[in-house]
Amino acid sequence: MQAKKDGENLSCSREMVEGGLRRLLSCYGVQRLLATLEACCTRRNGSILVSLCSRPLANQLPSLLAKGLYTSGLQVAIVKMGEVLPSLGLLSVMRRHGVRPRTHYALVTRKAGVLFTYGRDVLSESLLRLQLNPGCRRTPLIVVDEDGDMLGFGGLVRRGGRVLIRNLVDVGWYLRSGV
Amino acid sequence: MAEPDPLARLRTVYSRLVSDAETMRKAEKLKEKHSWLHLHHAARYIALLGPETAETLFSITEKDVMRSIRVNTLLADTAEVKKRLEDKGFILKPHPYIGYGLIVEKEAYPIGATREYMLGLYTVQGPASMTAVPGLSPESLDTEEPRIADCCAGAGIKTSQLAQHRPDAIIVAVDINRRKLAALKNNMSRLGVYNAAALAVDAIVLPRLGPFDAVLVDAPCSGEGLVPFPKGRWPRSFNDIISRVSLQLRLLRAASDALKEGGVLLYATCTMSVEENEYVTSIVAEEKGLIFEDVPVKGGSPGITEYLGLKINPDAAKCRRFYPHIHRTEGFTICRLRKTAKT
Repeated sequence: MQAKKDGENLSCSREMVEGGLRRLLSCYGVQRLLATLEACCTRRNGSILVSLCSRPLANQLPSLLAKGLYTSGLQVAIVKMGEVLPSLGLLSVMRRHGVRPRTHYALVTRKAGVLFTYGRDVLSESLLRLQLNPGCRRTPLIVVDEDGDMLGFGGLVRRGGRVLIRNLVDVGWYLRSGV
Repeated sequence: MAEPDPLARLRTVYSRLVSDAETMRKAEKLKEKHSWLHLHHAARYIALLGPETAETLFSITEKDVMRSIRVNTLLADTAEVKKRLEDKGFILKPHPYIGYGLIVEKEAYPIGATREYMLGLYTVQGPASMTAVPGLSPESLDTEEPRIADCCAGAGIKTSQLAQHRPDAIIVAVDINRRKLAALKNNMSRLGVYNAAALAVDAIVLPRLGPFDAVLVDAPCSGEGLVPFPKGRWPRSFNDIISRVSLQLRLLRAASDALKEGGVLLYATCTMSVEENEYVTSIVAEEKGLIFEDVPVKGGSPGITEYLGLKINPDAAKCRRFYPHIHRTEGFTICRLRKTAKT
């Protein structure tokens, strides 16, 4: 089923789940999240929001669709112009399931982690480990601090032989957004 | 002769109250001390508590009320959160009634701005407000994957608490305000809740979304329980109460219609107003075949069954009331009802 208008909810296409969400999760080595949860999709502002829902909830969504559904489950990704980008909710689901990224993450110092949650980038001297997944070059890295807290997503930038992690989104957004 | 409708009955008792010169004289005196009070508000609480206790209640400030957080047991356990916050200089002690609640004795910095808050390990919630979901006791619903509705869900604080109690439930959160639902969506993301859906509709349509095994009605109210806080200090007239009661009756009737036979309805408000609690629940209990049940929560005082001559079900004594001047919480009332017959 394809949604035509904004705000309309839709079943995630097989391509969206297999080619998009599963591929994104596999970048971090956490695709097993899909073993117990269902993907559900919503169109908003020209993008598609991808959420994970419990199976019982997903089974009930068809009956709620026509009744003013605003949101369902927990948003874990957004599809913009064909590109699947992770959302902060993915980190909550991972924490809830006790999984940490096995690949494609940046381990940073405690201090850099604090600054990262204020929207700052991570400089190379604060990078303790960079675990890249070569098949996921365009996918944001998960930023993890020394305490194992997953703080957000960053983009790898190479500048003059050094690398830095550009802040794309961090958990401080929950406070800064004011929503 | 037909019985007057519930709102007409209220108007009658209010006109009787304002014609009671002695009560109004005491209300004037109370208003002299607390200029933000409406005479109607003062008179109602004098009738409820007596003049001295009403004066004590209105003198309570936010410093006298406990500040609390609810640990999100979906993502962390209480001991872990307590330790992490204590390492940062916070002083915490256990909530008097709720196992996963913590009372903040000393804040190193604002409790709503810590790393742990951002990570969804806890959320800020009033100490009495936190008792509503345990009062519903979702774990006692004997259905597998029960359907639970959260009327007037707002930012979804209690929605996420429902998920904490029953991660296997299907939670349908309803609110007419889309801005609040945007906050709900963020809270579900932060707190790791994936078994809730939110609908931007008036809760009056709840029967069309049912049937439900349980319904939480955290009703819009006069907010009189917030009088210890600056934001809660504004004048409330009889008309303000009547308009709230009118809305609450409509919500309660819809919630009752949406319930399965044998289902549980938990009604909660952040006010100690009898009109908005024991009175409205008594009316709908009679109309819809609901019975009052004991609230499975420690703490609080019994419900009120005699007030201004209003007709109140004696079983409304099973409701629990939290008073700022007695329990050191925000003012809050919860009533638990069960649907017994098909209506």
